[in-house]
Amino acid sequence: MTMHKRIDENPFTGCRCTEVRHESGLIVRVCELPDFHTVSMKLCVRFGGLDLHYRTDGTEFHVLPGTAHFLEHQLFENKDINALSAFSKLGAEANACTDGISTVYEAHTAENPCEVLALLLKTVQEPAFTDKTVSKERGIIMSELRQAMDHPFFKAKLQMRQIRCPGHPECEDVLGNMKSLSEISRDMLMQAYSHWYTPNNMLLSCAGNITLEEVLETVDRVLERIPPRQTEALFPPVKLIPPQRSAVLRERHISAPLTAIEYACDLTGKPPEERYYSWMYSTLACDLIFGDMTEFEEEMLHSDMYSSAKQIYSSSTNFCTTVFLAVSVQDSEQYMNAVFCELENAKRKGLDAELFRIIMRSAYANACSKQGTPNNMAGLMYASWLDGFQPFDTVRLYHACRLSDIEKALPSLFPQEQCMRFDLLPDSSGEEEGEDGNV
Amino acid sequence: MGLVLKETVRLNDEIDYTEIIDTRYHLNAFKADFYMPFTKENLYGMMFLTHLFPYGDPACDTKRKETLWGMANYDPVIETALNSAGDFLVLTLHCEWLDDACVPDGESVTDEVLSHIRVLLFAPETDGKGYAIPEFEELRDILANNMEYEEYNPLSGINSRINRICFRGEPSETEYHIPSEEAREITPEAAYQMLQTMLREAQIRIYATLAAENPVVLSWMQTQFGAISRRTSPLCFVRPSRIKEKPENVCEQFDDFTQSIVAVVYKYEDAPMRDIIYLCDLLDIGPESLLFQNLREKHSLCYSCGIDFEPEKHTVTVTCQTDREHIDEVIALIEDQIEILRNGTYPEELVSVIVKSSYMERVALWDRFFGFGDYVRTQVPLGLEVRKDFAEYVKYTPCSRETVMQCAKQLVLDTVYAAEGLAPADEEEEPDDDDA
Repeated sequence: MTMHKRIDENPFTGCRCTEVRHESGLIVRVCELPDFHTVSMKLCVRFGGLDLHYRTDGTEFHVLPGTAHFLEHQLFENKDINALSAFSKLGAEANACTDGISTVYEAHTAENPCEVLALLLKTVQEPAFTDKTVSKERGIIMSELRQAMDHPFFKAKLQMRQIRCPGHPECEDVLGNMKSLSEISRDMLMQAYSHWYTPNNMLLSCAGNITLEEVLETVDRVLERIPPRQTEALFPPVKLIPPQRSAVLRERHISAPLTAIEYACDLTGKPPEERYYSWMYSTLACDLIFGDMTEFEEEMLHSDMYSSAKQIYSSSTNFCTTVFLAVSVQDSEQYMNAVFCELENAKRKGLDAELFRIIMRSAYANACSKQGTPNNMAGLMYASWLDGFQPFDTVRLYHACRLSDIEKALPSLFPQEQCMRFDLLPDSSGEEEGEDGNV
Repeated sequence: MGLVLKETVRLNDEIDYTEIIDTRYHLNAFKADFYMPFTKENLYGMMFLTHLFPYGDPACDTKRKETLWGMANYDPVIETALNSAGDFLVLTLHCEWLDDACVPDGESVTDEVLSHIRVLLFAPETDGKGYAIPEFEELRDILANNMEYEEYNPLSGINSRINRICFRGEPSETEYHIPSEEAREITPEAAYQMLQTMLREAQIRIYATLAAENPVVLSWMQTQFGAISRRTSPLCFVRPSRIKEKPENVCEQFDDFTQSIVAVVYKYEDAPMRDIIYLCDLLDIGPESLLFQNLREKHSLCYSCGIDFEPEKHTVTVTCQTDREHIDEVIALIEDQIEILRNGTYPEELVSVIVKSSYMERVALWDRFFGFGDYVRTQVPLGLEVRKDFAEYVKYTPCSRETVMQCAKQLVLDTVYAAEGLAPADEEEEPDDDDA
């Protein structure tokens, strides 16, 4: 059989990845690293916690929150044996994880890589769960959810989403909620499985001491020929215009008030490159305007209104958000104004060119040093596929980025009308509900 | 060339340097472990030092300048972390930087990083008595706020509560925490004094991994660490904890978390390290292990459970997060697993799985950057053999069933601790909105 090979090379280290589209529709990416003893393999399915409404071959379907993650747990139930045990008998470690947009099944091994790969493929393509295993796993997942609920910010994070875009799947945690977990059935899991788990919706990435030929031979031998299905997630329109400028939230396990200021821009339906640019520009802009090396940050550190830490993050799923989290702000309105002013200043006067040059050195070091291991490479290969890229495209895009590009993007990334402030207050028992409604 | 472990070099009284060459990465790194006795004073000083240390160079003595310096030098890692190891505290200075061969225009990041570290360790900015770091107060506030955060998060204090019960009367009962009020009182003099005390008295073990032979690093270590005036003596890191006459049961209730936590602590007088490690593997190495199979798979009692083995204290702690109503069942099942080991009735299949899992763990460590360095770091303080050759390093021979039974019989139940979470599972609260 002839398969078209596509090779991508890290422009700085020469590290190479090869991509092949298997006749089943599965994308296979391999990075051969013969100096290593281990092999890392990840099978990524483009089905995650956000995919609650979707269309398959023209018909619309609905699943309950937590379905993708529940399915991930269930696929480890093989016909005769728990798949985790089967991996461990081969000397491999296996795991899986689910996020908003994907489910990834992974195995790492130092022995029998082809057998382990075959088991990984079989695990995902041979669902053998029953009402009994669904019921058993329900208890374990509920326990996992309770553990997650005990982490600070679990509740606040979801409440922020509920205010920002009510009814959007982003308002639900990937694990689901107690009600949805109690209602997810074997039939619902099987329905989601048959719609999403087709080779044309998956990517296999393998990195380490294994060759492309070994991987392809195993895929040929094991992968069942399942007809492709066209499944796409359907998202309700994002209503990003904030209903109010600020909201007060209560959070357990925090000692002092926190202020989160969030900017958002809608990316639904945008092509991958545009989404990636939004993420990249907003990350770089945050570093350049508010990062640890900026005068703004130094002023805040020395001021009375700001006393501890700040986190900046951006996401590139359906809308891009940029959040500034400040601890122990005495006057959150004043802090928000300071952020406004600094952004307006940057939009008007432009960004610091010397700082940009220095940040690019750091990005270069990252491209050189952080991508060499089997696990990192297998991760990079599937994550770039989800973003719609070749593995090293992002390295190239980052290094081709010009300061003027970021400056041009500032108004759309940080629209003042899309800015919202959340004041997180300690949830101390004994206080009246709603007492702190006024900010 | 792969990976080569070189002979350990003594740099000074109780200061050793071990170098590994690993040509698979474009990185150099070293970790310097400073061991000090676990006392409240040392804890306060060392914890604060971990925050202050990176800002001791007058050329980059503020957060802003330090970040700029780092990014301009291709983002090296310079961080300090504090951990406890039995009755000792270990401050680890971790430095990692891009190899000069990858740096454009012939710059030497190695020279820059080493000269920066020299200032931070041996010539930090002082006013003659203490640190003269301009943002001292802000950094102290950050530490105090972190401590306050921990005080409000009951989960982060659970380990300290267990240690207080298990190690009563021993140094490691000291709470691993500075009350936020006291953190706000730490002075620049105390912090600087701690650094001087550490350089003079700590057991210092340095492990480096280099991308290629580079005599500059060893020579730097010899010059800098060789010149310190030392006043120290060898320490034995293994100090078994006293076993209680009868097991202690403690149950505490917490209104503000949902999932309960169970810890069952066993101690032993004397057992060969190899046997006790193997016994821990039977309990908790992968999905075939006794705990995973019996607590999670057979009875669906938890999402996670595991072992915390403290070789320095001769202590094995089994922990599990479970629902409140399952606490007693979990405790009983944990004791059953130890009984299975005492009777030697674990499945034979488990043995072969453990051999494979252990092999995988070792090889994975070998493949990770600084993984072999970390292996050497854990072996040396416990006086365990360091295997240099890959084939030797990965070799694993299981203990006999008889040996496991002997070893399990040494385990004495010491403490049963339960933190009962009383918060409801699925709180649905409407946020308070406000139109500004």
